[in-house]
Amino acid sequence: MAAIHTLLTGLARERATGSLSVTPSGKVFVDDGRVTFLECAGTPTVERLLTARGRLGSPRPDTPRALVDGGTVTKAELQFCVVGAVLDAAYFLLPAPMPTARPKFRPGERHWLGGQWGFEVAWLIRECTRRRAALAQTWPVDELDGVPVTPVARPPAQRVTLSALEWQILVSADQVSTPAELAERLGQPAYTVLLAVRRMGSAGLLTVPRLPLRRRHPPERPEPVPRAAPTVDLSVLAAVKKALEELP
Amino acid sequence: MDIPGALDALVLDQLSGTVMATGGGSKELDAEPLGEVLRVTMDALAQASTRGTIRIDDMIVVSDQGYHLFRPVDMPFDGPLVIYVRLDLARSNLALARRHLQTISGQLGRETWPPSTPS
Repeated sequence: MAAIHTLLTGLARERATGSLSVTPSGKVFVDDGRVTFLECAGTPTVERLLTARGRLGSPRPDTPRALVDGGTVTKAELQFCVVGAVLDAAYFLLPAPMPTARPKFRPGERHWLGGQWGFEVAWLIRECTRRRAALAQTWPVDELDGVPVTPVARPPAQRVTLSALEWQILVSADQVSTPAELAERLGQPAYTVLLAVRRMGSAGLLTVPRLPLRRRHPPERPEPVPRAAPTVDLSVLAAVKKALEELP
Repeated sequence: MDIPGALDALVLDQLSGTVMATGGGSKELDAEPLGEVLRVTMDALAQASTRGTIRIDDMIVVSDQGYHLFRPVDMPFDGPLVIYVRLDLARSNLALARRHLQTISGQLGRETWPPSTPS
């Protein structure tokens, strides 16, 4: 089945400008074929990342420049924040299957943070592939990904080394919140929280839920995103894009 | 790459492993082991220290391939970033390179938009 990254590769080739709502919860902004912003409901937004660190006052400034001139965040910090949020959203959005409802393309629409920095679609896809492999290499078991983070009562070693993020996750773990919910609360990218959860899982620091049915199968490895997108017929894409634009 | 004797340079997000910037011939460089070198060193030093925690400012490794400088930079988001530079053994000045890295890591937190031109 075609995934969202296929559609994005097409938009890049056409050097399209506008926004594309890809799932009920995801939106991609492109400018001249480069991705300027990505939104995904499952990952913390730039606003959330900034708010979690007390870097965003209200009312929210309406341009990146106003945000920086307001003095709450430097340009370099904002840039890394945007790169982080875009990659985080891309990780969960790009491999998602194409929605059954037709994606809606709005030519010319821009994100309030977009336009300053653009990302090549091919780079986003490559980086997502690398992140997927890193996650599987850390621990090729996805049973902890969607369940409440539950630290074990007694660690299986005399001495445990934690990163600062792992500490934050354990302290915030209330045995109800999933990794994605903890990421939202901590204002940390969902992927880095997931990676930390997998590492702690592999170290035996988290309770792995018993799922007897799944246990009989080998651990599920996430399907890698292909490095090069499948060949796309440009004329078909152009026709699809034209049809999308003409939608009411 | 303005540092005298620099052979490779890159900026890495340590948690996600994403390369944020490269310089010189560093495109071919595998960033993941570099991040791992720093992480393993941090872990080992933390365990070896009496307090059990550690804060690394700079890490310098001297090898047959040059000086390897690592500098973790705390960022408010998705950090820490790691600046990595490899220097030529003969052509570089280690103290000068460390000063450069300090300046760069300071700039990461200070850079702002250029003043707007009056219209």
